[in-house]
Amino acid sequence: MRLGSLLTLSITMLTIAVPGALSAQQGPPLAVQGQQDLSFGELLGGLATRVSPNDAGRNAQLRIRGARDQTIEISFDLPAEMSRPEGGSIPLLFGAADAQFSASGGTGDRIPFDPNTPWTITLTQQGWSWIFLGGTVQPPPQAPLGTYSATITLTLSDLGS
Amino acid sequence: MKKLTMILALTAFLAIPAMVSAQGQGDAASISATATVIAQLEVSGEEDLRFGDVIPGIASTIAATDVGNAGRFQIQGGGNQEVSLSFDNLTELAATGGATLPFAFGSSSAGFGVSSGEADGTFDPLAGTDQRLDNGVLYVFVGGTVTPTAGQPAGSYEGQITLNVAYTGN
Repeated sequence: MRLGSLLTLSITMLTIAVPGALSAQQGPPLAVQGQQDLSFGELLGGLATRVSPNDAGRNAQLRIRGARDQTIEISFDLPAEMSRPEGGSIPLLFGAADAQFSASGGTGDRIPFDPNTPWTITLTQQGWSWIFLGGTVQPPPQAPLGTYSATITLTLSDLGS
Repeated sequence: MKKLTMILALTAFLAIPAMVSAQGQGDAASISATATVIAQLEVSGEEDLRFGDVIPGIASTIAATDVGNAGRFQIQGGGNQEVSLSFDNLTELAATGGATLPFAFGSSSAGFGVSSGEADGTFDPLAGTDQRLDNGVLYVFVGGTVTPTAGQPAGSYEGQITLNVAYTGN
């Protein structure tokens, strides 16, 4: 009876193990790399400033890689404000079209998506694809002078092929 | 029992890659969003434009580069931001009794510089120009020409010179 239980356990583990081993051979593991920060530059208190995801000099740029035909979920952890070391914060907003996906990294194949909610896409290639992100900052009229910053995190999750 | 050991060993061997693969099925990276809030523009008139004594019938001109007599403004703002500069037109100076003295800007009657003691360049005050602040400061100089008539009443004349400054966003 005890031997029977062990055999059942072993076979179950074998069943789980095989698809994983095959999946690992189909392409590189998911990877994401930050390439450029989102830079609003110099702002005036009381004057909102938007950086478009098409603004190559100031947008955020990250590149992602997975296997061809792999379906992945892209989700951002977006801050609601930027803060400065001395204290004080300014609101930061992301619109429904402030994120873009591009397989080539160029401008001709960009797909806009809402960075505020997880977004799913099936990769069409095994090389690097690109994510571009813009946003809007709204410093209040009496915002203290200084440099503000916040952290934006992009997470990739595999949804299978 | 030997058979059981082999099965377990095989299972363990196949399971390891699967576990490694499962750990590779996601990734995350972070970047920063950055911004610098800069000061609002402040413009102050530091020195008046002084023609001194003028003689009826003889025009008198003060150049923007004549820092001893030219008018001077100081602009304070943020960092190395670019600002637009232009003057409201002024056509005459007025005396207390109502007499007027013709005044005109020339095409190079305005100047700009990073120090209060020297104009680094000139521009047409009515056409305006865009210049960049130097560590938050820029000086603007202004001259012009008065043309008293032959019968110009004696007296003291004055007018208001207004400089308009705005961030260009560049």
